[in-house]
This record gives sequence, structure tokens and C-alpha cells, in this order.
Amino acid sequence: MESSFLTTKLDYIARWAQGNSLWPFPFGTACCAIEFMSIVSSHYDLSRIGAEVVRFSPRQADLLIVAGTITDKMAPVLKKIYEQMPEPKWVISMGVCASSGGFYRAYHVMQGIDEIIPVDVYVPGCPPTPEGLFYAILKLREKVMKGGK
Amino acid sequence: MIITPRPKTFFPLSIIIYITGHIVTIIHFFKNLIYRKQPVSKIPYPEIRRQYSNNFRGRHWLRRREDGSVACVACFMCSTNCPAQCIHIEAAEDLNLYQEKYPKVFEIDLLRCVYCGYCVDACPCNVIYMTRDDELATFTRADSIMTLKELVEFPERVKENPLGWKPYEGNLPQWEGIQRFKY
Amino acid sequence: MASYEFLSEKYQKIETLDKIPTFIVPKEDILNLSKELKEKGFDFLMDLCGVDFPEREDRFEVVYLFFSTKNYERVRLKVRTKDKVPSIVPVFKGADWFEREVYDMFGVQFEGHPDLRRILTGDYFKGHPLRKDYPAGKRWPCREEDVYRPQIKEEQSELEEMLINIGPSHPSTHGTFRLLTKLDGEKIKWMDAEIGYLHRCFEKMSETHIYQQVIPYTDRLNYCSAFLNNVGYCKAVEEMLGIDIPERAKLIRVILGELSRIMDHMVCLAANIVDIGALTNYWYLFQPREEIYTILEACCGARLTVSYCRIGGLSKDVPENFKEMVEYVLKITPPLLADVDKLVSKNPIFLKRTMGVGKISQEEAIAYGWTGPCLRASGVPYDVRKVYPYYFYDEFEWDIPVGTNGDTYDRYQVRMEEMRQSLKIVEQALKRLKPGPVVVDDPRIVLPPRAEVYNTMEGLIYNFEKVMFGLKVPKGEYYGFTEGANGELGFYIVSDGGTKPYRVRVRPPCFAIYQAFPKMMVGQMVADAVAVLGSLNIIAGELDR
Repeated sequence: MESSFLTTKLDYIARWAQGNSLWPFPFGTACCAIEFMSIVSSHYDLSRIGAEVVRFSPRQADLLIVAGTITDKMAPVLKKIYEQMPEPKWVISMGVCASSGGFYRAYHVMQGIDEIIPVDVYVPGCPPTPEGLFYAILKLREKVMKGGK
Repeated sequence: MIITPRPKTFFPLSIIIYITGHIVTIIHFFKNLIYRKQPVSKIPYPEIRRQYSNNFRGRHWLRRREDGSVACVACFMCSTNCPAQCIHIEAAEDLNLYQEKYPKVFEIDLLRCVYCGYCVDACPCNVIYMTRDDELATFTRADSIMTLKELVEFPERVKENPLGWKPYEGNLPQWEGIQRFKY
Repeated sequence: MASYEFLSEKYQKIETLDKIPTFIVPKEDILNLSKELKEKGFDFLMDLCGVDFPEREDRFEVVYLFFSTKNYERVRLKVRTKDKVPSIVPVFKGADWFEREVYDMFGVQFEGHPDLRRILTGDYFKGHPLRKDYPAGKRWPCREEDVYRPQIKEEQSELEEMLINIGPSHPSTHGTFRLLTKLDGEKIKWMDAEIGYLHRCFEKMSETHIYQQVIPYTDRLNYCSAFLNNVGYCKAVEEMLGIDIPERAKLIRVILGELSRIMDHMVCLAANIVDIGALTNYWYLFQPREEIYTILEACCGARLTVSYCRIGGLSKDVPENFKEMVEYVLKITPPLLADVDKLVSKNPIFLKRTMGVGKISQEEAIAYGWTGPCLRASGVPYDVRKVYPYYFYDEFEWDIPVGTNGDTYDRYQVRMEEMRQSLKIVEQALKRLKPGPVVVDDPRIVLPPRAEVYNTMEGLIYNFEKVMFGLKVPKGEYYGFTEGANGELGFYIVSDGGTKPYRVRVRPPCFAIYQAFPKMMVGQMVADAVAVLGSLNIIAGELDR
């Protein structure tokens, strides 16, 4: 019983730490990347919740924010980047194009990135307002702290 | 035609340029510190939210009649005008009260919608509106499909002054005897 | 006598809606004719695109639009073909990527093209998507092994050569393009650009939607200045319909359009200067940008993808405090621009990084088909707003800033000056703004007023007809062009008289600019590639459509 107590406590601490220091990797391709800029800049300041270090290397990040349309040509790139990220990792699909293809029901647009990688939080909006994305990150943080994968 | 300036590449007194640069940033620092007519733009999000205008295009909302039934007559205009084809309507006939069609199923896929406001412009019955709600994140794709039950309620977060994008009024300022809807 | 008159003696001239002289020429003659046109002064290939008519025997039509930078004349040639056309790359360097795009989208073979392969899609893609018989939703999966890998021959060299990929996901590209570079130490020995990572099928999508529904798609072309794309498309369709929009709508389009241009230049400059290493300017430049977003959001409810224009005017009148909001932007922007000027314009580090870097001469820029601030930085004073004035641009007082050397520094200065000129235009337009209608009063073109829809039968019928069937545009073709943030933004619309466009072709200014980039950078340092790329302001949404 003691050992399980210790592991649950350790687990709790680890989750607490993970949730409070999500390091995002902005996979910005299109319009949503422009709105992503405003959430990391001084108006909203994502670093207040610990997601301070925006990493451009997948090996140093644990939160993949897919901002913008993913086309079929881009799909292998996205998959590779997701595979390069160390566990545990989470994915936010920002905007309708990344989440479902949006109004591009077209021959070269991926109909949602969940075709190739698992997604934790979907953010509707074209592009979502900074509030919308911030809400999603807070929601994900809650999930991480509760112990969701 | 203006020829743009082009300074010489070599500056013996380039230190002056650096000092000017420092003065500019220091002035900005003190301006923000002391002279704060406009608050330094910072929005600590969950506590303070940016006030969007009354035209904001957020989640949709359907108007209800006074007795509580949805005012939509299932004419499919909004779903036809939607560039994303994200509105799914199944019509049924109401034989009792209004003798009109009504939507049995009215679903909007928020993950397809591009929030262009075309459905609002198309509605001939003044039913569909857009609210100022923009916090719509969900964990699954199925959660993001708004059903009729959710669409007739105002989002909790924007209870006071909920409406955003309203139908386009056109050129006429006001008509004689037009019925105005009050909320 | 106009210099294209020699064509009318030999070839059939056809009438178009846009009054640009158009000739149908046999495909064997096109190479000689383009040579002849170039000698006669048509030194600029504005656009090259394809149109598919499956019911004809020679089903593809390749449309060439030539332009003269001397006397601003335009002439259009059309070649009808079943499969093959001679390439005009030997005469016009700028035709390179345009021909590859036509090959990719329609499958027209260009004989004599140096490197004819798919550009927007890849080898994994079967079929040619813009053919009329290609279903809009048919996708082909791209797997890991389908990623394009160039065949480069090994060369003997003393230093070890290194092949590196810049992009598609790279912080300095500000979008999704891939640069394949072969480095010799720090020097670029060879460079190739691979695009199409954001090919969202704008042109196919606009063929499957009615005219009004294309407007939200145009927002997402150049998403840094979405409003200018709206204006470009709506203006082209309005001119096809032959309607004149109210003065207030025009002035609001001018004001918001110029503010969007300022915003686009700000994003470009801020990102460019950050890449070189100066972060402070980024915050100074983004401050007015945020205010402009607030204005746009107050007018139409979205910050970025505005969809504010409608065919026939605007979707709604501006809010009551519009004037104060614009005046506030006019007040805060010039001091911030002056601050950036003080910080950067004479800074020795900045000068070292930008002066003489990414230089392009006037002739080269014209040969590649550059337009907009990048062309003006090379010293060609071509601006659509001055040369073909629309929306009272000829009545405002403003100047075209022109650079002298065409390097990164000149592009920076031209953009800075253009922002000041735009502020000047906004100020004058705001003075002229008077109350009035913002859409034409014609129920065949715009949705009728709400009051009529709710209360009268005619209004309801017009509303129904407009939504269900859309508006009918007369048969013909039209090339409408405006000055976008990056240069001449052209919409070539072919209508078959129905409610959906038969073909919408965008002439993206970025496309022509970016095709010169790999050739410009050979022999330069790899660190300069980042500085030059930032100064060209390549927006992926517009580049790949």
C-alpha cells in the first residue's frame, strides 16, 4: 500500500508539473498562425500559464498546436513531426481547416488531421479568436492535470 | 514619385545611432510606466476578456417564439447559402398550432462552419443569429455538432448582450409599420 | 497605332468584356509572336493560365496576358490545344512556374520547358484537378515515400557539400514552403523551391460555388490583408455586371483597403526585422495592427477573415464611431513608424545585413513578372492605383515610393514609405466620407433590405431567388485587377452566363516573385536567404491558393 501511495503522489506531482509547463510547438501553416502570434505576444501572454517557451523543434515540445490547413502534401511532414515529439504529448487542432477541412471539401485538403494523428482538443473558429484558443489550452491543462493521456 | 532614402554604409559615428535607439526604447518604457491613458494592452484572459463588438461572428443562435417553440420554418435558405454546407436540417410538418413546417433536426457542425455570417443574411424569418460566444473548444468532433436544443439557448458566458452578427438591413433605414423584434 | 496592331492583320480578334485586345493564335506561332511582342515593348508577362472546355475538340485554352511597362498596354493571346503547346520560357523567364502550374492543373505539355514537373501537387497525384471532369473531392494520399526528393548530380569539390532542407516547417519561412539548398560552407551553390504545401484548391472551389460564396474563399488568399482580396474579387465581378457601387461604399473600401495594406506591410516588416535580429520593432509595429483589427472586427465581426465586401457594395454599414477609430489609428501610427525609423533605418548592423543583399535589377524583376513594392524597390514606378486609377485614387494626393537598387534595404524603405502614403490616402478619404447607402439598390444583385423580406412578397421572392440561384453574370471573360499588398492582384473570371463562375483564375503576385527567389540566392550566404525571403513578403495562402 505504501508504494502505491508513493507512486500516486509522484504521479500527481508529475501531472501537475506537466500541466503547468506545456511547451508548445506551433505548426503554423496558414491564417491561424497569424492569430497564434497574438496569443503569445503581450496582449494575452501565454507564458502566464507556463506555456512560455515556444519551441520550433519537435524534440523539445510536448504540445503540438496545428494552426492552419493541412494539405495532403503536408501530411507526411506533420506525421513525422508528431512522431519526433517525446512522450507524453498532446495535440490541439486550431481552426476548422485543421479540425475537419472546413469549407475546403477539396481534392488536396486533408479532412481533419485526425486522419493521421490523434487530437486532444478541437478549436472551432476560422480562425479562432485568441480567447478561443486560450480556452482550449486551459481545457487541455485541466485534462492533463487530471491525468488524461 | 519619391525616391526612398539610402544612407551611406559607413558610419564613423555609429555610436550615435545606438544611443538614439536606446533613447527611443527608454522613452517608450517611461511612457508606458507613467503616462497610461490607454492601459498597457494586457488581457489576463480568464479573468478579463476582450470586449468584442456587437457585430461579432461567433456561435449561432435560433430565435424562439413567445411560447417557446423555435421560430424556424425549415426553409433551407441558410443551409443553401452556407459555403461550408455545415447546416443539416430535417423538416417536419406541424399540424397543430402554426400549420407550418418546423425543423425536426437542426444541426450546425461548428468544426465545418467558417463563421462568415451568410446564414444570417439569408434567413427570411429573422430566426438565425450569431452570438458573441467564441469559446467553443471540444474534446471530440461529435461534441462540436450543435443540436436544436443547444442552439436555442444563449451561451452562458455572454448572457448580457449576447447577440453578435445581425441580419443585413439594406438601404432602407426604417419601414413604416415594420414589426421589430425585441430581446 | 498601338503596337499590337500587327496581330489584327493576321489573326482573329475576339470581343471580351474587359476590352483587352484578344487574339486567337495557332499554337505553332506563339513562340515567335511572344518574341515579336517583346520587341514591340510588351516586356512583361502578366499572367499565363489555362481554361478547360471539354466539349470542344481542342479542349484546352492557354491564355497569355502581356503587358507593357512603357505605355501600360495589355494584349491577350489565346492558344487552343489538345495536349501540347510550345513553351515561351526562352523568351519570358517568368513563364516558368506559370507553365508548370498549367501542366499540373490541366495536363497541357509545354514543349521545350526546362523542368516540366508538377508544382502545386506532387507525383503522388493522379489526374489533373482543374479539368472539368475531375471531381472536386477526389483525393490522393501522400505517404512518406512520395515526398519530393531532387536528383542532384554529385560534383567534385574541395569542401564537403551539404544538402539541406529549409522548411516546410521552419520558423523563418513564415508559412509553408520548402527550400532545397546545396551548401558549400555557408554559400548557397544551388537552390530549388518546392511549393504547394498550402494548395487549398481555391480555383476548383470557386467553380463549385455561386458568385457570392466565393468571397469567403478570397479572404484566405492573402490572409494578412484579407480585405484587399475581397475588394479585388468584388470589383472584378461588379465590372462584369456593369454596375457602379455607391460613393460611400467605394470610400469605405479605400479606407479599409489602405489600412489592410498598412497591416500587411507591418507584418512583413516586423517579421523581416525579427529575422535579422531586432525584436523591439516587432512590438511597435504590431500595436497599430491590433487597432486596425479592432476596426475591422467592429465593422464586420471577424478580425482576420473579414468577408466584408459583397458584390454590389458592402455587407453592412460601418459602426457609428468608425471615424473616431480610424482617426485614432491615424494618430498613433506615424510616431510608431518614426520610432522604427530611428531604431532601424540607419542602424549599422541592419545596413550590413540588408544593403546589397538580394539585389535584383530592373530588367530581371520585369522579366520574372514582379509587381508591387518589390518591383518598385527596383525602380519601376508601376502601381495599379496610379496607372489605372479606381475608386477615386486619382483624386487623392499621394506618391509612389521608388527605390534605386532593388535590394532588401530598398524594399524595407519602400514599404515604410508606402505605409505613410496609405495613411495620407486614408486621411483624405475619411474627409470625403458622407452618409449614404453602402450597397446598390438593385434586388437582382444584392439581397433586398430585411424590412422588405419580412413584410412584402417581392422582397421575399427576391431573397429566395438570390439565395437559391444566385446572381447571373453575363457570358464572357474579364480580367479585373487591383493593387494588392504584394502587387497586382488579378482575377480572371470566365463566365458561361450561369450563376457559378466557369473559371476563376487568381493572378497571385507572390507566385511570380517567389519563382525568382531560388535563382537570386545562388552564390549568396545562407543567412541572407532568410533576410531576403522576409523582405519579399511571400504569403503561402496566396502563393499556393
